[in-house]
Amino acid sequence: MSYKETSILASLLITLGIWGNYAWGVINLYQQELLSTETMYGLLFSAVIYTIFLEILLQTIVAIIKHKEANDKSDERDNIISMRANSYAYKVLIAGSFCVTLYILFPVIAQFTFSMPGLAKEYEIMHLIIAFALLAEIICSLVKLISYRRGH
Amino acid sequence: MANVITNNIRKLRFEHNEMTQQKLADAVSVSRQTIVAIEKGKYSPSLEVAFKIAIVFEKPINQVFFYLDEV
Repeated sequence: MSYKETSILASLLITLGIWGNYAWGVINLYQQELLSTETMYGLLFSAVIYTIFLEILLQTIVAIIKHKEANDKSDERDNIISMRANSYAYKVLIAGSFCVTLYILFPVIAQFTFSMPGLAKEYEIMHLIIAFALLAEIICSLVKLISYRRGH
Repeated sequence: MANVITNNIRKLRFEHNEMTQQKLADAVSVSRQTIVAIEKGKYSPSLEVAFKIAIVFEKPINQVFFYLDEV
């Protein structure tokens, strides 16, 4: 596995692990009826700090292990793969923006879809935006990984 | 009908003092992984890179890359 693939895989695992843990934490708090702005902020900040810390740590380790390739510049194939991955992620973000707009315009949707009792409406919207941004990031990483594996 | 671009880069590398993929990659300013993908026929390079590879092997481009029509 090349340096770029390993680096993307590390980022993907960090994103899935930490933000999966965050979602699990929020669900647990909700089930225990302990979900509040304070507990949510605690989870959110720890998720952000762990993401930054683990990204620095793992990317450094990957760069040390694959030091021969770590300083290679991106070439045309990297750019094509990156463009393809970004185009998929962009579509997810557009769909997410559309969903969030609908959610804001028609609050009645919350009763049937996504609702976080214990938190203000703004935080529900914030979580929706975070969820779609993470989904876009995950799809971007997956498309890159698949493209590198397939060769293009 | 599928169009396929193939090449004989591996053979040409062998004929050029067993040139490594890394050396060829450095000569045409791409990564070794890109050369691997081109050799396997998984990635079709841009015209610029194709010409650079042909220049490295001192061959016309049509002796390095081949365009096949497959039914």
